[in-house]
Amino acid sequence: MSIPSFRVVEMRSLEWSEPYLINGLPDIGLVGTISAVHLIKQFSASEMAYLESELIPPVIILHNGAPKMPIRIYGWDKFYVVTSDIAIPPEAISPLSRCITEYAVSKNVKLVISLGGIAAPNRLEIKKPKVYGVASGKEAKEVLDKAGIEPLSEGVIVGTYAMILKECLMRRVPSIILLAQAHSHYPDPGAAASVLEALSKILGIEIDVAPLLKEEEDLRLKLRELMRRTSAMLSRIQKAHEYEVPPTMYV
Amino acid sequence: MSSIDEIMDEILRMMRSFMRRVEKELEMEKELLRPMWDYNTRSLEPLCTISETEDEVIVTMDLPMVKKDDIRINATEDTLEVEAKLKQEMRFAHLRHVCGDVAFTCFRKIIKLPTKVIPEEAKARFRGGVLEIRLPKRIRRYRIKVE
Repeated sequence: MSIPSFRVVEMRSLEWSEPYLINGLPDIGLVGTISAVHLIKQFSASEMAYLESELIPPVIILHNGAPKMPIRIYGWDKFYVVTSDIAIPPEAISPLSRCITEYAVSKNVKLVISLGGIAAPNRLEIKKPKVYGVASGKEAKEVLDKAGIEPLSEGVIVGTYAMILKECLMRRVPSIILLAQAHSHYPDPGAAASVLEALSKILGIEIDVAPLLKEEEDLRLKLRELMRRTSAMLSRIQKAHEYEVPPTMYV
Repeated sequence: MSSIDEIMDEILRMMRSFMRRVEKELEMEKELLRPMWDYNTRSLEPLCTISETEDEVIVTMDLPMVKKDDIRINATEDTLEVEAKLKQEMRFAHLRHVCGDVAFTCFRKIIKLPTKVIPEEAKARFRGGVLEIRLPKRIRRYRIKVE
């Protein structure tokens, strides 16, 4: 019996020199998903590939009458963006992370950047969410320092981004995670705007977050169902408590 | 108690714990299958969290596209009902083939509270589109002095 895994099905292949791979997957406050969709729309990125696995629900998304796979890779210029319309089931996290990292290696990606949220219990008091960074090594740490992003120095990261970081470490692919303070159970376009501003500093490209903030209420209303499913998946892997767990070795 | 009885007790305890976990998972799945809209009342279900402190039940709800003055809250000892009119009617393309071109006009949610509360002492606040309702518990815990 074979172990269920993921595979990338390419619809078009474009090779860029030293490209970046940006992950925008459902997580705390749907920060990753909101950010990825905003990038895809703003830069008119085209669909390049999708990820296929028996570990994800049997779902096809219909958009303007055309069927779409739930986990897709878009691209523009020298940027790949991975996004998902479905919450990632806990059993799919490791194989998905492996597949994304393998894809990054096959494309000679210069840096893997994962966009997400960190649960802030006092989010209502925070006007502009702060962004923290996690780097896989010295090279990635320099990228964070250059962009003036504060590193998340203590704590535990749980979920898909943790596994992507782990895979990147094992394969020596420079990788960072950008985490904005966010509502843990509500879609948070404000946090996505903060994370995109941090991304813009890293990549040296202009990302206009004004449209995102303008349609904030609309997004919060329309993303309720994905948020509910994501919250359920996160509670299974206890994502909401990641900031409460101290690394035992350093207590 | 013999060692066999102890082993049987342990097995039963583990089975009960496993059953509780399965029931919880099934309950969660059932919850996820429920649509977050109601055709009959033209209402949407808001995202909601319920937490407890020693003295209070705290309910928060994400209510985008809602004005403070359009929120109506009713509470009893063990239930909470929130209805909030939307600033504008909402239509969803993916529901057009399910229930026609329905315009949703409000958020609506009825919650069974985890413990009895004093509804007349409840307080509500609406900030950044998030409603927070704090309901004092009817049965409070009292600190017992250790002598």
